[in-house]
Amino acid sequence: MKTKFYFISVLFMIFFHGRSSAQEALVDTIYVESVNFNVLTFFSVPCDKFAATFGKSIKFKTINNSDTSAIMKAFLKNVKYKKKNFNVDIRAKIIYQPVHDAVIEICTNGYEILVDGRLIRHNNKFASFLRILTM
Amino acid sequence: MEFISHPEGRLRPVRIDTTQAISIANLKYIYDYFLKDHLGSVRSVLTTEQQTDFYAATMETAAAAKEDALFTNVSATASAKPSGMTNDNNNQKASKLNGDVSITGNKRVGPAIVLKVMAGDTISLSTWSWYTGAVQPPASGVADIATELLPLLTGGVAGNGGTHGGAIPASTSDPLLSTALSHFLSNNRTYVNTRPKAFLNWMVVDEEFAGVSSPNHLGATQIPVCNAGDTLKAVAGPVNMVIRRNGWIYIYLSNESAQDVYFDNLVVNLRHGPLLEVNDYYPFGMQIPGLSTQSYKYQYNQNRYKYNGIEYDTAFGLDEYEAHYRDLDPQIGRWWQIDPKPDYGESPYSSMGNNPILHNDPLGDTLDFPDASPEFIGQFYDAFSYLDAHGVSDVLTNLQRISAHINVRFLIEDDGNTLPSEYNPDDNTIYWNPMNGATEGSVTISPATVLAHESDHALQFKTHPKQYAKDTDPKTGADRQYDNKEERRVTTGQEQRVARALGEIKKGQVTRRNHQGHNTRVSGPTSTQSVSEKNMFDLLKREQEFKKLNPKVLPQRKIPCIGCDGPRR
Repeated sequence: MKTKFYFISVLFMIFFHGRSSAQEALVDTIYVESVNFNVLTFFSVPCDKFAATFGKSIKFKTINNSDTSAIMKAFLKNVKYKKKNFNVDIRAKIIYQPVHDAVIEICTNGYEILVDGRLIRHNNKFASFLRILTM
Repeated sequence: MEFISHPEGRLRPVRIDTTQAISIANLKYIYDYFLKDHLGSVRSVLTTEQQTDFYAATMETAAAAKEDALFTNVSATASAKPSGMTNDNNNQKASKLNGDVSITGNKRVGPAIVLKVMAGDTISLSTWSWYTGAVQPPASGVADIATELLPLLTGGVAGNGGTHGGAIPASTSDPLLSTALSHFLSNNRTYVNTRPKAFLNWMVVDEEFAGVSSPNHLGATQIPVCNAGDTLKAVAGPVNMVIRRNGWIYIYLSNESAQDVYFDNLVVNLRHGPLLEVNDYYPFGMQIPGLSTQSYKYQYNQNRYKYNGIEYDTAFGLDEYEAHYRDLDPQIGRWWQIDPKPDYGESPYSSMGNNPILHNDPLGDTLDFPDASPEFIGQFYDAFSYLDAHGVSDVLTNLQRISAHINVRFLIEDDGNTLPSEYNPDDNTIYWNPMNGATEGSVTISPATVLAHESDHALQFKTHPKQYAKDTDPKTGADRQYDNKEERRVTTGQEQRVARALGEIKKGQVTRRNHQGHNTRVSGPTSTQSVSEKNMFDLLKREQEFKKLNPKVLPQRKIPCIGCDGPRR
């Protein structure tokens, strides 16, 4: 009887442990790549050349916080795109990877923001939020 | 105009026809290149000039004045040609030598010449000889021939002017010369007693008058046999002999046999190599006379840019280095003016941080180069000198005048990524790569222009911080064409001005109308010439070594300050 109880307890523990791991994997991930926003480079650095240009001077950060993800999701839900794109000299690149959705690439110079390569209308709060992520 | 200066060398105008007056049509430009050490000191000057000097001793009366100026013992041994020597009616005289000097009027040593030679020069010698009758042995009971040679040699040197501004005193040169001559006379003359003991002789000695032991540098050719009825016979010396060491070549004709031997048409053909100057310095810049030398050339003005690339001024016997801001006395290793931004750990007159092996100070000024290698600092000052020579160094100069220190760091590339130069106000640093120019469209600008661009940002940040902050703020300073107003200001202002002054853009052309572009690997800080793929490998390899040298092992250096707060004098 006692042995049977231990066996059932172990099964429960394995079950719940496995369930818990699966829940963690479901959290959205935000990858942040950034350099000093105050640096003036000789050339403008476009989004697609960010990594190639700054190389090892890029700071990397990974965020797996559900609150942060929720804020990000909310900002992205409400973005409004500008009709015309223009070049932005970027200093940070943020990759947002939702669990159940496609990856979104965000580039910013601290004020202008490009979402998946499209310039969005000015959103000071979103810009501030992105800058905080890089800190 | 003596020359057009450049940190890597100079353009030297020379007359094409030296007998004609100076005119645009009669001028060509020679490129001289400087080879510098890690401190930027000019160690050698190489030239592209091809020059051949031709010396001939014909012994003819018409040319006597000129030949006596170049050679010794021309008129003193010249004699009317004897019957049977030559059928050429234009040839009226020859040099007559007889070894029996106990008879008044006889001479054993004939035409002789001393010439300055540099390593890489090539020389050819030849003459003609003639004698008649039975071969006589060397005269006996006369003093050794060396006693005649030595005064001629020292006299010849003095006549040409010493290497270092005056005649070489016989007292210092004789002992060495005696040794060289003794060695030469005893070991290098193959004498066949079926011919007169008469030779075409040559001897190369180094700057200190010691014999040069390279093959054929000490040599002699005995005259050939003259049978009855023979006329002048050729005596061949070395042909296109490459001189191995800087120094002098002494060429002379001799006859020790007790009979008349006639020599005619001694010809020396000296083709100058690329080496013009060799400079060696004591640690604080004084030249080492025994090791430094220069070629003697017609229409040649000595290069004065020497230690640390600073101009050496000999006017009024001052013998000091005239840097951009201060004057350096190389004998005592101290500046003549004080350091306006003194480092309180050392005298304001001290130079090179009292460590001239590690540090240089081409301007007599200050800038911080944390962890920098001397090579990088040298390249920075090459760029500065280049800007200065074109009258556009004002931003860098002003940057050094302000009270705050600015750091200049080598922009290290990683994994093949060519990072753009940048200015970072947070650590007050200009990141710059002296091998990276910048290209936009068809225009390439040099690393020097890139440096001027970044320096202007640094100056603005230090002198107008509020404006700088406003203009670089992505919101208040936004500019669609140039990304921000600060970039617009510098790109349309300083960048264009410098590029135009350096000849990198033509009138009406601009470097760029945006903030775009890419790095272009160039051959040096003042170059816009992109390096080929072939050279790229060498450059990358060199840069790897450079990175090894560059980093943390070197102590942070601080170049003693410039005449930052006032004029130099």
